[in-house]
This record gives sequence, structure tokens and C-alpha cells, in this order.
Amino acid sequence: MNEERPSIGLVSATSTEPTSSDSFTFWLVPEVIVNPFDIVEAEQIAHDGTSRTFGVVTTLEHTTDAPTHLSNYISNDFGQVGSEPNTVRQGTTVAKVAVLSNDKDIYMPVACDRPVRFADETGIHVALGVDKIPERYRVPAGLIRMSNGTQAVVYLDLRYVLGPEGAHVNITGISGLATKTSYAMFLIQSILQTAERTGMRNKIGVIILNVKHGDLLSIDQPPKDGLEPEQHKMWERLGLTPKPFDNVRYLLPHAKDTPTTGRPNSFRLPERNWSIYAYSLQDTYTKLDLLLSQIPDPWDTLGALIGEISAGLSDPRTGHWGPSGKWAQVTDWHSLLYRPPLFDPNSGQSQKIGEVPAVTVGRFRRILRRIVETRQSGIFVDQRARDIKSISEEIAKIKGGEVIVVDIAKLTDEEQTLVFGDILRTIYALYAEEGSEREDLPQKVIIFVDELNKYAPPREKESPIIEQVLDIAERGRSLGVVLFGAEQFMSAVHERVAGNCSTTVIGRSGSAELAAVHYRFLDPAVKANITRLGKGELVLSHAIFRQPIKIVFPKPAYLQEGNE
Amino acid sequence: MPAAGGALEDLLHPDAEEQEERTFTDERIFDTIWERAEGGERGNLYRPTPPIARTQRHLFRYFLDGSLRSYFLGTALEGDRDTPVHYAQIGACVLLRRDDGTVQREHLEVRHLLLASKQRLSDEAWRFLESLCQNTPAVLEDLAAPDVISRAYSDADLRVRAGGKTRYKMRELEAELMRKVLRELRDDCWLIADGSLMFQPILKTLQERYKQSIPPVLGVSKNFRKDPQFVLGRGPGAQRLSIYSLLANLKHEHRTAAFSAYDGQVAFWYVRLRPQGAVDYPLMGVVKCELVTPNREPVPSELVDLLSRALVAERNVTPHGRDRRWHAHLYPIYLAEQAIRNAFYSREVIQQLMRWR
Repeated sequence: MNEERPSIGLVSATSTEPTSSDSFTFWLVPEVIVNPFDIVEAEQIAHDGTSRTFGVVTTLEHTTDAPTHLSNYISNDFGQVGSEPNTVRQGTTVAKVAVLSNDKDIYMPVACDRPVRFADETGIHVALGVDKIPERYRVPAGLIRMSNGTQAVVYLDLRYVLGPEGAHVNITGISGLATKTSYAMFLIQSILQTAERTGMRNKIGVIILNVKHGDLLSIDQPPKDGLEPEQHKMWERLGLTPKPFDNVRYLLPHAKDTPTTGRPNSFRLPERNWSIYAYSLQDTYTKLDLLLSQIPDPWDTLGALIGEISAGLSDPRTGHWGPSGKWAQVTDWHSLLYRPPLFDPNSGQSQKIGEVPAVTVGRFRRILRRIVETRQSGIFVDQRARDIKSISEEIAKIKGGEVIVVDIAKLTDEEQTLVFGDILRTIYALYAEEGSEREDLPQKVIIFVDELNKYAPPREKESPIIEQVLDIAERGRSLGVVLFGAEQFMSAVHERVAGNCSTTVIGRSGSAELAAVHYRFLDPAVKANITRLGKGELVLSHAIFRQPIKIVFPKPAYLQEGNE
Repeated sequence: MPAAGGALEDLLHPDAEEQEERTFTDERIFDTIWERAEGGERGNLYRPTPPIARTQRHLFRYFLDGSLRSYFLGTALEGDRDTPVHYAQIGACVLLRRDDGTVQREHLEVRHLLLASKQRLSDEAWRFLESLCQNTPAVLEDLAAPDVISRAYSDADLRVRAGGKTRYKMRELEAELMRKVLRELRDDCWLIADGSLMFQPILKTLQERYKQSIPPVLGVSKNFRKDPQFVLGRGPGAQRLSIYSLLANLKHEHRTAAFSAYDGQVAFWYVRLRPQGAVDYPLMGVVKCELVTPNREPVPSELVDLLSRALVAERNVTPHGRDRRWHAHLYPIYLAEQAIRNAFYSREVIQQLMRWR
């Protein structure tokens, strides 16, 4: 037992509030400051000498010997606010602690009056089980900062982040605190640097979707004025180098005026290494289900028509693009919409296709016309020019060590769903269907997307995009495809997607949100603390931690919008 | 013959302090105002005593209280003789209050007694009871041995008398602890003792130690006799007041004049801590204060004023809700009592200690 660290209180067990294998309570020495999420250790028995039971403080309460508030009112001269009592009323602050672990695997309840101390960094690692993670799998995930000034690096187990033991990270919390995306980017950087240290850098590829402004379109550039010294210190304390991402490739959406200006439909232009992507009918005919994912289709009539179109535009021998027969005139979006077989220009009527009635075809045409013509952002083109890329082709070329940023910020909801679904489908096909034929295919691919709730809402009826996300969430762990999702409200995400994440990161959230079933793994006291988290503070729940912990993390070391 | 349940806790006598007071003196008529102001003039019957808080002048720093818990274990039968057997825990505690208003335990002493009547048992049976006390913290006491408190309790019923003996031993222990703390006391560092100072070991101790000066010890009683009469003036114009009429006119933050008791060895007066409107009846919220006057001289009115004013400030905080005597209870005294009671063994432990069947 470390005698240099003073006791901050003694364990208190009462007839109504006993200690247990899972929790204990201690009273605090006057003047000692303890906060929720501080990690403490209590002296515990062992077969040989003593052991240490570690726990995280969940709640603090101040109690006095006044049985009612009326007693306190009377004790102040019947309600005189200016009176000072001659004798200070007996009271103490008690801290409730959720047990994390015992260094000798003894989970007996801690006995009354055993001393309690702040844990040191080594103790915190034992408490969290970090000491049992082999060095090569330790990913710095942030810093624990305790009330007594102790800091400790929190490590995630890489095997539970990228598989095979567990996978996926979900980050949730209200927007406006610049926390969710920053944390995802920090964690990706941390994973890449850890991988670099262990010689695995070339085995990990990263795909990042930029969904808001130009936030992620300069991740390979350092901040203009550098980072503040304290941010540098935090990076160093974590054993990481504050640097922008390297080996980054940007894919930016085609704009309506791209043919004349050559510029993409993006909020900003990356300095280098970017190209423009677009969708011709040829690129999209097998993905029309994704494009229409958000359209209600209770009787699967649209689904049936999409199947007809997909089959009609394929060459039956090769399975690739090759419209023939009655579909021969269909070469681009316009001909699909205004030529046979979907439409008869002579009669001006939509036509029945196979078993699909004309009325359904009419509905399909109206929806598709809105998506690819009237309200499109510019990514739908009749034919892709030579220098305009196809997302699926570009994603399929992903190499280990590479970071691909796909900008979808200015796209409409349907377009965003198409792009995200296309990426997932391409990656899934690469890993699940093609196996590892390509030698330079990275072992692991991380896909980060904000506003995950758009693509995996908690609806009962499945849709093509939800199925795609669920496939990744449920099978990605073994395939090496890892989803980093972020959203404002985890309750707005499909339960099976959130539930499959072995790491959950929660920023400040409202109490109504925290009442949702998605947060049932959290103690009520922890939920209350989450409602008052500050900027840059997160609660981290990881598969190997017995309790969630509070962490802080450094700002990402790349050029961010607003800091130019 | 064991008690029902093995050990039956004795209920405390509801007016123990009041009853005890009667045992110290038979005086019921008080006609001497026992205080003099600096100019020599006699004080009024009532004087204002606005509070002087600790933050203005920290006068009372030590607080002494005693407490007891007693169990009837059963009846020892020997032939046609019998005696009740009681197990009692007595304790006394002195708390020191720091300048910031927090308290610390200065002295705490708890003793265990096994009580039986010696004259109701043979020597052999008495020795058996003595042997029972071996390997326990208890000391065997003859509950029928005469003492100043027990005599007020029934002579016939030994179970009632055991209560008096226990109380006497507790008061003795209080006197013992008071002796320990006396050397710390000064003019600006007073002790408040719970209860009357007329208890002989205490009175004697204070008289012997302080001879000509007033000891810095204030006795404060929550319960006091309700039968005294106060006679003001001499001759046919003399005014006779019952304690009820004396205290009914005592205003909030006022005191009565100090009267002489015990043949001039003690000065006492009453202080109203709480407004009458805030309590149920006029005698609530009033405490009786006592000072020992070894030189049998009247006490200075200024000192009585000062003590009373400092005492009024002690009304906050209160043990309201924890103790039915909250209106006249001083919180540090309550804390001292709690410290003692928390140091007592539980009924289960007592039963295990005394396995005599």
C-alpha cells in the first residue's frame, strides 16, 4: 500500500447502506475535494496481506444530523439567513463508489473504516484493466484528470476497437461543443500512430466522410498558428505526436458547373491530392435501392421495379453494364426517365414493366426525376468525363496506410445516402465477397461518418441502407471493417448498430435523451454527470472497463475551419 | 431468572434531572438575589441578554455531558432471597469547540457496571457474580449501597434503585472528567456542564480548587424543579412568585436575576433561549444556569450578563427532530451525548458478555 498518498476518507458501511461487491461508500476528510469520475482505491483484505479495491466515484452527498429541513430552519433562529450558528452542525460528505476491480481479484465487500486514497496512474491502469492489455494493443484514448491533479492515460484495447474481439466506436452528444468529430479524428490519429509504432500502419485504411462544411477537407495540413502549448503537452502526455494526417486522398462531389469551372461542389478545396466523383446511370443502376432508401415502400413495389431495371441494364452474360433488348435505348439518366421501356414518349404515359404496374413506374419516375434532375446537387451526370471518378472504383483501390476523405457536405439527403451506402457496399464486397485476393488490401478499414442516425434510424422496417449498416455493424468485426459513427442522439440510431459498438463515447447530453433505452448500461448517477459535461469532456465506455470513465483529449493537430 | 428477551433496556426516568435536583437540597423558597452590579446597586428581576456569538467572543469552549444505558438482565434467586441484576454502561465526554465552530473530542470515558444487591445475596453468590465480570469490562457494584442520588429513588424497589445507582456512578464519572479539564479553563475559556453543579463531588471539587474566585464552569439544566417559590422584597410588601409566573414573564433573550441556593454556595438564574411564540408552553426554551460561589459572595451582574448572552448564542444549531428537549438543549452537549452513546455496546454484545445461564 502506498503510504505516501494520504487517506481521503474511510469506508462507511451502515445497516441501511452496506458495502457490496459492486459498490461502497466512504466519508471524506474535511477540506478534501473529490468529484464524480475520480478513481479511488480502498484497502481490502487478501490471502497474503492486503489488496486494493478500485472504484470510480459516481455521486457525492453531504449529510448532516438534521432529520428535516425544518430543523435547519429552526437552527437559524427560525429562518434568519444572517445568523451564524455557534457550533457547526455535524455533517460529512460521502462519496458513492462503483467498484472497478481488485488487484488480487478479491470481490468481497470492502469492510467499514478501511482507508480510501486517490489512485495513482498505475492504480488507475489496474482499475481499468489496462495493465492486462499487451503493450502493442494499447491505443491512447484520452486522459483522466482527477481532482487531486493526478493524470492518467486511458488506453483502449486495439483488439476491441478494430476486431477481432470487438469493434466499432459510437460517439454521441449534443452538437456545438466541437467534440464528437474532433474526438473521432483524434482517436483515428491515435490508432494510426499506435499502428505505426507496431509496424501495422500499412495494414489499416481509413475512409472519412465529410458531412459538414469543410471541416475535414484539410486534415493533411497543420494548423496555421500551430497548437497551443497545453494541447502539445496533452499530446505528448498521451505518447503521441501532434501532427496532421498523411497519405490523404480527397474525393469531392461533382457540381452542376464542374464541366465549365473544373471545381467540385465543396465548401473548400483541399490543397492537394483531390479528385472529383460523380454518378452516371452506369455507376448507379445496381445501387438504385440505396438512392431510394429513404422512400417508403411498404409493398416492395419500388423494390421490384428497381430489380427489373437492374436486370434490364445488365448484360446477362457478364452481369456488368450492357442494356439490351427493350432497354437498349437507356444509356443515361434522361433516357431512363423519358424513353422506353419506362416511358412511352408517344402516349406520354408510364409503362408497365413486367409485373410492376404503370402507376408504380409513374411513381418511380416522379421520385427519380426529383432526385437526379430537379433537386440534384450536380453529382448525377449523363456520362462521367475521363477525369471524373467513380466512388466505388476509387474506394476499391484503398491501400493500407491511406486516408480517403469523401466529401458529401453539400449533397442532398438521398445523394448522401447513396454515397455512404455505395462506400459500405463496396468495402463490404471487398472483404466479405472477394476475400483477400488483393495483396495490398488493408487488413482493417475504418469508416467514419457523422450523423449516423440518417443512415441507421431506429425504424422497424428495414431499408437497403440500414441493412448495409447492420451488415457492417454485425459482421464487420470479423471482416476487419470498422464503423466509427457519430450522432447527436444515440436514441436516434438503430439499437443493433449502437449495441454492436464495443466502445461508446458520450459527450454532454440532455436528461430526456439519457432516459432512452440505449443508455441503460449507465448508472443513474453517471447519467446525471453526463448532463453537465464540459467542452472537450467525454464519458468513455469500453468493452474491458467495468464502469464508464470521464476523459479529456487534445485538439486534433490539423487545420480546422475557423482557425485559418 | 432471565429477563424477557435476555436483556431488557431500562427506560430512563423522564424527569431524572429534576428529581436529582431535589436530592441535593430541600430549598423551595428563594428570597435572596445573589448578584451585584459594579456600582453596587441591585439588579432588576429581568435583564436583557442579546446574544454574543462565537465569532464576537468565543467564551464557551468546553462542553461536558454524561449518558447511560442500562439493561435488566434478570433476577438472581438464592433460596428465598433474590436481587435484580442490571448491566449498565455509563459514559462521560468533554468536547472542545475550535474557533471555527467545529468540535473535537477531548475526553471520552465509558465504564461498565454489573449491579446487584449485596445484602440480598450470600458471599458465595456475590463472588460468583464477581467471577462473571472477569474477562468482561464490567465492575460489580452493590446497587443498595447508599449514595446521594439513589436515596431519592425507591428503597423498596431495587430495580428502580438500580437506576439511581447507575446515575450516581455516571455523575461521578462526569466529575472525574471535569477535574481533567479544569486546568484548561480560564476567564475567556469556560466549560458548560450539563446539569446541576450541586452534585457533591463536583461542587466540592470546584470549591476546593477555586476557593475565593468563581470557577469558569457553568452548569446548564434543561429540566429543573417546578416547585420553587421566589420572594422579592421584605415585609408585607414582599412579592411571592411561583416559577411559572417568574418564567412566564421572562422575555426572549432575557434572564432572571440570580438567586442564592445551597446556603450561598451556588448562584442560579434562568435564561430564555427561544421566543415563547416558537415553543409550546412558557417553560419551554428556558434553561437554568448555575455558578459555584466558593466565597459565598454575590456574583457580579456583568458576569451573569456575559454568560447569559453567550449562552443565548448557543441556541443555534439545535438538535430539533433528534431530541424532544431540543428547545433547551445545547447542540455541543447533544454532540457529547451522541459521542458517548455511539461508544456504548449494543444489546447483542451485552448479552454475549453476560452469558450466565
